[in-house]
Amino acid sequence: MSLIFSAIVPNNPKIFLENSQDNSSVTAIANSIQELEGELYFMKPDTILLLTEHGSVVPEAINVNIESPILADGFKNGLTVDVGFITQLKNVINATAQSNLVTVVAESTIPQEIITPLSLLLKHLPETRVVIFSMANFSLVKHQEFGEILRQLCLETNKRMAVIASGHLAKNSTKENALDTLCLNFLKNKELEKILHINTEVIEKSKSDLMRPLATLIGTIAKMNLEPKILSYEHLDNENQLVANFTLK
Amino acid sequence: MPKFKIFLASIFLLLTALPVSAFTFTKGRIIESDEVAQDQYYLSTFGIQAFLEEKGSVLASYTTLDIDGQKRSAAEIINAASKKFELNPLFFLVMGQKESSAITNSTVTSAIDDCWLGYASCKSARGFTAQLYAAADVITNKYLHDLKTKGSTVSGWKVGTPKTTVDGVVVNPQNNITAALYTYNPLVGRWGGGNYRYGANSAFQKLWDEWYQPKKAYNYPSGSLLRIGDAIYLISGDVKKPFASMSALLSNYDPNKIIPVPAVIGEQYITGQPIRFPAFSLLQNPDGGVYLYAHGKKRPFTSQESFKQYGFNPAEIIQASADEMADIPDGEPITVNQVDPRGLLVQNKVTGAVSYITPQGERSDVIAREIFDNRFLSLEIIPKSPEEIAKFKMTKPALLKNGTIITTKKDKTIYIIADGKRHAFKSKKVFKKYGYQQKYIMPVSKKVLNLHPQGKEVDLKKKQQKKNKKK
Repeated sequence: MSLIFSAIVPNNPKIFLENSQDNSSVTAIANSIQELEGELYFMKPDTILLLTEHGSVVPEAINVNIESPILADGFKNGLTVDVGFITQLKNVINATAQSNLVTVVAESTIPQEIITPLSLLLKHLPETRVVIFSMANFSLVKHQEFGEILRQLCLETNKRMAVIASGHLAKNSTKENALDTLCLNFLKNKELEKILHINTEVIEKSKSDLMRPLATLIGTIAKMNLEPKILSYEHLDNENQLVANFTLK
Repeated sequence: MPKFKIFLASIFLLLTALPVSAFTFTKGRIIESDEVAQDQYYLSTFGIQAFLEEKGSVLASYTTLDIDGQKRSAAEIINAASKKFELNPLFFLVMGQKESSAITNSTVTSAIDDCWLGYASCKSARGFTAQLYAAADVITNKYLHDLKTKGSTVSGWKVGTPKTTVDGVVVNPQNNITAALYTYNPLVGRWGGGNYRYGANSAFQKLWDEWYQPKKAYNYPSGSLLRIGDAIYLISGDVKKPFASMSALLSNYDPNKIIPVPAVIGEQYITGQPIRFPAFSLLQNPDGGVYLYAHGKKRPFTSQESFKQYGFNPAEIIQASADEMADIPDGEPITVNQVDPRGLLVQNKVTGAVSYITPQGERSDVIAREIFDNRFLSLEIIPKSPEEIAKFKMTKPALLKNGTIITTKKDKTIYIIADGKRHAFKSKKVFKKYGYQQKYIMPVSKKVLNLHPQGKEVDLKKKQQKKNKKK
């Protein structure tokens, strides 16, 4: 019955590796993630839904990893998967006309792009259950529709749910590129729906891996009267890294 | 071939896991009937998952390869095997607890991973799915099949014929499933006067007794709020409707009155449409039409005038999706010059009497303060002349809300209001067994009590098993 936390978090492992160096971008990202982690710790979710373009990607369907536990550096007992949530999702999807929307895989290991955001956020909550969704090759609008299904499931459970979109904005580009400008403006102006209709060419050119997770997140938090709050936006490792939180108005 | 050998390896886990409580072993009828043992629909995948979660079982997060090579959750695999072999899913859950403590253990052990049902030597069927399919296959396709076709299992257990178990107890099986269970594991065990070192069939029955609830054993009246697994439901007849928003719950119900119930009880209600919106929400269709969500229906406003007339605030309109709107049945359109669709509370300027005017324009007198407090605290009272009030057609007095628990000072019986009737709990013990709390009993006058006609008594359906305990 409760979606208690939602955020955008980068997935670049260099946020860890370069944390000790004197780099103002890393410091800004690290500080904002620390703030986010503190907020998450306070909210103590039962389950985190991680939305990513990495892991076992199947272009025709959104992929969910049912392996439990998943081996991951930094998690002594591995990551425990919320198997019940996945079972419920499968049932809902199978009951609709979109039974091919989701596939289930079992991968006992996951790439650093998935481990990084979870490690950053679950430093003090390593036992939190997770569900990892690898996005498909669908349009942003279809991902948003999938997000709406997740929202309904989150609302019908009594668990405390958090949803995280993970990735970077433009790659191999300066901060002033078209995608980042549009995204940041839409976030600042609370025009989340407009993000779904950004020109496909602009997205492809940017080489961002955040847009599909973000579209799903937008579907998940729709109608919740949440206010996006940009905590940091920095250039690191040739990628534009955004940290944002959505707080209840 | 008797399957009891492997049982020895895991029995010590069991002895610590079983709670000690009053229990009478019915050695000839481990499960009350073959029909119950073969009720493959007793728990759905959700029910199994909820059951595992409420027991804190490691199997709630356990995934492994299913028979088709796909990775699935334990709940899904158990459900599929139950259907294939026509056995009650609870049968496997009880067996799993008896053999490896798989249901109450929160961490995985080699006993759970390799041999959770204690089938055979583990060598011929090692692993969660292999154990499940091998055990289910031998019970259904061998033991039960032999009993039906030849009248006896491979080791000579048959219905109505006494036979001595390996631990020296004479047992006369009263149904096929009992004969099959003694073939699977030919011991009575510690809870039934058999070998104290083993739990065996007496442990199976002890667990079954604790976990199994006959269908409709508990009959929660409409208006009850139940927490089943990780969701909260409103009971309405045979249907449980999940709340899909906290505001929908809080707008009409007291969350303190939610009763946590086991998954096996929750499974007996059909899941209905979720309750997504608070009562009297204003909903807008994607096509632009505005509706009032009232009494589970969506009532369209026929004009802006009708919207304005009743003082609704456009800022409170919620954008709903086409799917959400489609889920809500249609109600009567709201036009101008009707009674406020939320109803009205009016007070006679001369007598001071308070009446509720229904959205249909009928008048229900509020004859007692208890009823006013119970139902109408959120409505503003509008003073009106006796003549104005008399224009509304008088109907029955207003009643208490569904789910209200009442008693009177003189009569110690406890009642629950459902569908306008008062349903007496058979005893205080039954009241407690249902999980209702004493502190929410509302004392009412005899007059208020008698407003509500007598409904069905609230009782518990008893288990059949103990009737045959002497056998």
